[in-house]
Amino acid sequence: MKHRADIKALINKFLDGRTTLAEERELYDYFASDDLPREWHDLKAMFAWYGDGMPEDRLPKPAPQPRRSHRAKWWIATGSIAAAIALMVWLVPERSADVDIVDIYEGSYVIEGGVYCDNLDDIEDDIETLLMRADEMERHADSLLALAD
Amino acid sequence: MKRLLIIVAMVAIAAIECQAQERIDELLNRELNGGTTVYRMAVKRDAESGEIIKRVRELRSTGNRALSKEFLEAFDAERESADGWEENRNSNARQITAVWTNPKRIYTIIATGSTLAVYAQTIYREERDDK
Repeated sequence: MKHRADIKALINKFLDGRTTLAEERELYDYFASDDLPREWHDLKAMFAWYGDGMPEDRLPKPAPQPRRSHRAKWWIATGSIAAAIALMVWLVPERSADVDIVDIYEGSYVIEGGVYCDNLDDIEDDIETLLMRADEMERHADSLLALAD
Repeated sequence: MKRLLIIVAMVAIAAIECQAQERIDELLNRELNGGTTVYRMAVKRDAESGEIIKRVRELRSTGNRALSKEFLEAFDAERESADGWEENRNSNARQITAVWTNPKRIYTIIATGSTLAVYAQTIYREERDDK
């Protein structure tokens, strides 16, 4: 059984996207156990989902809304939702479209000359260029697999 | 007995496929902070669910022929386990694309003279084109 510090290091490595396949399987096996430190209970479901191959039918679904039997509760709920939406519109800056684009690259980083940078505003061009190249390589790889078949 | 042998063979093949690409991954992790390297990690997520579609690592190095040789040897060592393989070479350049399925991983190396570029991508799922 791996020492707790080793598991913590592997978790950080996984979240950085640097784990090998064997290390990922080690994490899946570790988190399959019921005997986990309390602070890692929230990670159990995540690693179980990754370990099962990320099945789409197990994506989190929104909780069913309870039926409201009293009109007053309905009005209070509606008013609260409307107030929350108004507050979000007021607080969220107009760059929300840019925020969405940046978020899909969360976890990306660049290390150049020993200097680490994960500021997505600074590295977005690099990341997009790399992903475009990767997509071309994937299409080429698919043609190789088709030939191999 | 025959069934047992088939099961043992399948387990051995699965173990080999798990070890495949590990030499290349180990070199990439080792060179993460190499002084002559540029290292990029690109993560692409689904905009709605946030789940990861693919991860791509890129390593670039100049003036380090020994590193180029190490990576090329790592690729050569894992050729037999690859599900797809393509190699092009001329007098001063060599390019290899190696593909493994289940999980889908694509590794590419381009070594020309003293420059090196290595790409390693893991595809977790197909990108939905439902926008």
